[in-house]
Amino acid sequence: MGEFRLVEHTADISVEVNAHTLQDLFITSAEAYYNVVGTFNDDLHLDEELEVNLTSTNIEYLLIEFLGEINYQLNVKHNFCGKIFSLNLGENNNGVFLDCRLGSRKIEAESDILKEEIKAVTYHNINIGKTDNGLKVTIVFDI
Amino acid sequence: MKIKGIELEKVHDYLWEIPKHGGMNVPGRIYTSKKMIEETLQNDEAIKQVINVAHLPGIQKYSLAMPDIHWGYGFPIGGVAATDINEGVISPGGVGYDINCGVRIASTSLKFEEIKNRIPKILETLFKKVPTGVGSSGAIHKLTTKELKNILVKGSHWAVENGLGTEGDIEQTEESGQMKDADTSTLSGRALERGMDQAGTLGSGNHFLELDVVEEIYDNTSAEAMGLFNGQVLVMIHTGSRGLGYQVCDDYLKILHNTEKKFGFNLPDKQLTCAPINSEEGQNYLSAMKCAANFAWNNRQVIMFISKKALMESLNISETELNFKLIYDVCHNIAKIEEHNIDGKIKKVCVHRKGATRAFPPKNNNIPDKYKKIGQPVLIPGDMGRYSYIAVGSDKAMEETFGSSCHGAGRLQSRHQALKTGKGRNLIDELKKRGVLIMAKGNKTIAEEMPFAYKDVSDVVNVMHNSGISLKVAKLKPFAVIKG
Repeated sequence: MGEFRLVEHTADISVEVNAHTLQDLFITSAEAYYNVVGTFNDDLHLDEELEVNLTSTNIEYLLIEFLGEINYQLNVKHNFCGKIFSLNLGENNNGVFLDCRLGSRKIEAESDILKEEIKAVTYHNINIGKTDNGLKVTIVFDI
Repeated sequence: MKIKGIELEKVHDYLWEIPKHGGMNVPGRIYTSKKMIEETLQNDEAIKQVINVAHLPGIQKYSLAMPDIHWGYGFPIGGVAATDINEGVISPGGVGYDINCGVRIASTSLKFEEIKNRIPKILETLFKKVPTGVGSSGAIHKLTTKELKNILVKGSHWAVENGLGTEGDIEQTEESGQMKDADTSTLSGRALERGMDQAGTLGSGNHFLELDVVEEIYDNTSAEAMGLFNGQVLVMIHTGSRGLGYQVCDDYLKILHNTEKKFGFNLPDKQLTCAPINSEEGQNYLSAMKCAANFAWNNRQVIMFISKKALMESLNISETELNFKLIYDVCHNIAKIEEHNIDGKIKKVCVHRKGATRAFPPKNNNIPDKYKKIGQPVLIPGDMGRYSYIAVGSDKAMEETFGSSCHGAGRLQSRHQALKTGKGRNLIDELKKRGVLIMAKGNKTIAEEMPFAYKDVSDVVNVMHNSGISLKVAKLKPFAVIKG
């Protein structure tokens, strides 16, 4: 699995995510998201399964759209998608795609689990770069 | 002077220029002081963002930044850019996610000295009545789709038609609380879904409702026109278009990313993605943005009405005794088609203000009759422990900044730094010692929004005043704050 750390950003919240593979990078980015918005708890009881299917023109946009989707699920549908059961990435005629199955729990809009409202996941300077150990990306969340 | 390897040339004591270089279409200009450059601009990427904005196709004169500039995404916060409406672009990143985030200030006939012993009760009532915090909802009944669409088209007028405001409120709101030609068919189902239960909610982060007292008046004529007097109690509301606005921005960034090849723009930051203003995509974004802007104006109008009721209830006074009147409402995240003088010719341009306030001068046709002699009120909230300002726009603003000024203090510390600075301290008590009572959904927000996390708004306002862009009218001091 990958790792993430908070990076200083004056107005918003920025995370740097490192992972060996692209799939891990997506999964770890989702973990980073949940770490920012709430108190991530492995014991959280999940009561629903969601499927997310996305297509985009490039892999960076796909990552932001994936995080944007789980942000929508949390802020609007109140689905705290605390577990990723499977995540597959691939290419098709339109660019790149993601198929993902998420474990989710319905929470109250003002649940104690939540500590931050992320307005949106931004595309600011988004770039998935190579490192000696795999891949790295820095994501800015607008709060 | 070089900051992070970028050359800044002094134009005068409060204005610094980044010469045009590389792919910049125009130079950059930052209104600031040497002290503020050294104290704040060294620490983040905001100057680079001024340069990035200068790459926008059709940008006119300068990529500008106000003295509250700090690192944002795409545009810096405090950024202003005007683009030619025929050859230029519109960029959702130049408006931001919180479309028409803005501020309104209402006056009362209350004197601080008369109510100072009843502040806790007032604060509790406001906190109970105004929905705050993450995912807050339920200020008014859950809207039907038809009602929501009416709000998106009518803005503040919807609130007034439903008994949640007066015609006077409409007159004292920028754009009269309604941008015309807002077509709801340009919004996604998700955007509509997010607006359903958020009308009249404050939200979280840096949004707030506070009571201020007029502490000092600098310009008696303007203060009189606004109905201000020393010791007077005012209500200030800072919020925007909530989830609906975030969704509009998100939707159109996706749409525009998918049309990058069509338009062939090569910009230094993906958050600056844009479309020609006259393209179908550009026009659709403009229309959707107007819907979100109208939602925000209605939102502030509803919150203002709830605040009025809360004050009357907590003080047990009548509407006449309270004499609650909107001084003005400004938006500070917006793109607007305006006419400006470009090299001696009046041109229509799309002015993006991202964390910047419109500051139109006296006699301008777009400001209320009441303020034609003094200029448009410019509302500049500071941090919740020190002070805020009311200023007025000037001719200089029209000449130099496309009629724009600063929008607030501007962050100095990241939220993470602020949490570290506040660790182990009793921040509520610290604010109390400054004469400020606060109620918030969580202590984390209080720590993130403490005065130490912000620049001194006086430094920011003085740069604008000394540059002649917006002129100080009054200084306000907060004494009761509610936050999400």
